[in-house]
Amino acid sequence: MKNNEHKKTKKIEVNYLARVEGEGALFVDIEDDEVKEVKLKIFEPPRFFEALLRGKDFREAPDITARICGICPVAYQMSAVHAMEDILQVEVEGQLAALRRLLYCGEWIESHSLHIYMLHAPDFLGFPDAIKMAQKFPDDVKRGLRIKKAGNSIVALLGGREIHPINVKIGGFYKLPEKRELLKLAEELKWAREAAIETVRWVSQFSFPDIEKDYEFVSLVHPELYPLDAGRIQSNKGLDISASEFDQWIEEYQVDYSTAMQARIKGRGSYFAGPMARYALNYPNLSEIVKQTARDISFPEVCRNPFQSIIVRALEVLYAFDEAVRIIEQYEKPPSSEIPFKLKAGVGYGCTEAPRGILYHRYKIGEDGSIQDAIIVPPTSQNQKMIEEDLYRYLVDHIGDTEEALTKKCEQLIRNHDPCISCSAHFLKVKFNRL
Amino acid sequence: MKKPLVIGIGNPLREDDRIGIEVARSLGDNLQSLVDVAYCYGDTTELLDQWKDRACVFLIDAMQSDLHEEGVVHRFYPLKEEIPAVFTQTSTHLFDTGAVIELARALDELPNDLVLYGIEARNFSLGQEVSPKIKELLTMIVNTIEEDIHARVKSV
Repeated sequence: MKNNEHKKTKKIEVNYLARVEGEGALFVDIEDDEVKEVKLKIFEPPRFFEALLRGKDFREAPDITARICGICPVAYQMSAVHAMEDILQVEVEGQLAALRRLLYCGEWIESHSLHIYMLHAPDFLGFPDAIKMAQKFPDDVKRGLRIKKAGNSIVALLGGREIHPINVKIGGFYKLPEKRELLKLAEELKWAREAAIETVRWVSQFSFPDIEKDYEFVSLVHPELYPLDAGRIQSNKGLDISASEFDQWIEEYQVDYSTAMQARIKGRGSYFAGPMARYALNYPNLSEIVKQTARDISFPEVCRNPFQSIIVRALEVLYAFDEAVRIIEQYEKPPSSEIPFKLKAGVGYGCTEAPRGILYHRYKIGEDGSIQDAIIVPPTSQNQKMIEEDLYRYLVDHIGDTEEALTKKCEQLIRNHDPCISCSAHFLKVKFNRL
Repeated sequence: MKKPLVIGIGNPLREDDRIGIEVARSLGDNLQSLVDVAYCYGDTTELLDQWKDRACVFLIDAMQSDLHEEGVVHRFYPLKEEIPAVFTQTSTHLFDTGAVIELARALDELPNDLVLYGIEARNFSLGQEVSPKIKELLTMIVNTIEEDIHARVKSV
């Protein structure tokens, strides 16, 4: 910290923020107790995946894009296959679509439970990390690890392996599971469903700052299903578009301090994608066990407090287990693992709900099946501007707080959004300049 | 009693991060009668399950301290010492190996005997092969760890 009494200015520097996925930094400039600038910097080198895809065979897109992220590879695969299937006019329905949904449930469980128990809960319970928390709350941490393992088992069975799954292909799957293989999972999933209810109750007892904001929530909305990989892109402020209209309504733009693009709704500005958006826009399609659990803790149908995102994630984990059990119980192995298709040139669009929010892919493929152009817009890029705005508003409202308190809260606030920085362009460093 | 378990840790899609996997695979061939081998491809929380019923576990992982030359093998005894932070912060895993060991310690779920080998590496970019420098040193790295494991298992 540096103080300059003459200018009534001071400088605060914090150089490391842990418990986020990826590498980045937060810089805050404060002058005369006025917040001048908040910059969420992502300085991980861009991985050039979009360029890497050019010239590759269209069938390679799901497996290549799955390597973008170790946390949400299924989301990348799903958005890629949906976009390719859009070009090829392939409709994946019935049991094949249900299996894809089951695989996605596994990823949500893995990602959300890691974030709830290992990354976010320590903030609320006053621990620097999950290790220190585990010393005081070993049973809770063990529950979280077992829940996560149940999600891993779904991804391992359907995806072929837990990290960077390889079993999804355009038109369906390479190999289908037998009913008996899925039934083997079911007993543990039923235990985990009860444990997920316990998780909701546990996190609902945390203490939350009384903060709300009138966000523009953006998520997929489906007439019948809680959205994973189907639906239109809608918001609580009138946006209602198909994936093919994404570019017309949402623009990516470069900021000079970050290697990741930011995104905004044209003419409106930042928006909020992710669990809170999905929950707010799709509450009616949650299963009864989730709604009842939310009612039991008096949790509203729309939550606008970003610190309570941990409760929404816990409710989504419960939903994912309930949905997984439902899919397994009704599963009958289809006669074929894939829908046949004929290669055709064209442009296709795919948008699915990664754990952190909508993940958009657009591809153009040529007559020979080579990828001529690829655009990938991950949810953390989309949320980056809104995270900066959340930070700005918090700092303005709490400018008199100590540097230590501000730093902790800013870190927690960023973790509210579970940013996957390695997706958007690893590590987050925080630097306050109070001038 | 089950044999000692060697676990190779790493993301095989991130160049030198796959060194733990490659060394464990070689040890599986060379020490077949002495040890079992398992692999952890990134989700290190899985380690707690992998070593659950094993008395003796050897972990092999890539690490970067930038204090030593590439290929240098560090040996740690987590039951007797904390893993230095410098060897855990740069892991490309979701929850780094050092953190998982400390988590297991907090949960009283460490094996009775645990050795961590950290292999100094520099390149963690996308790629399905180790860097030329590590490739050149691979046989030496395998021999170093193999001799150490052999001596430790035989002495028990």
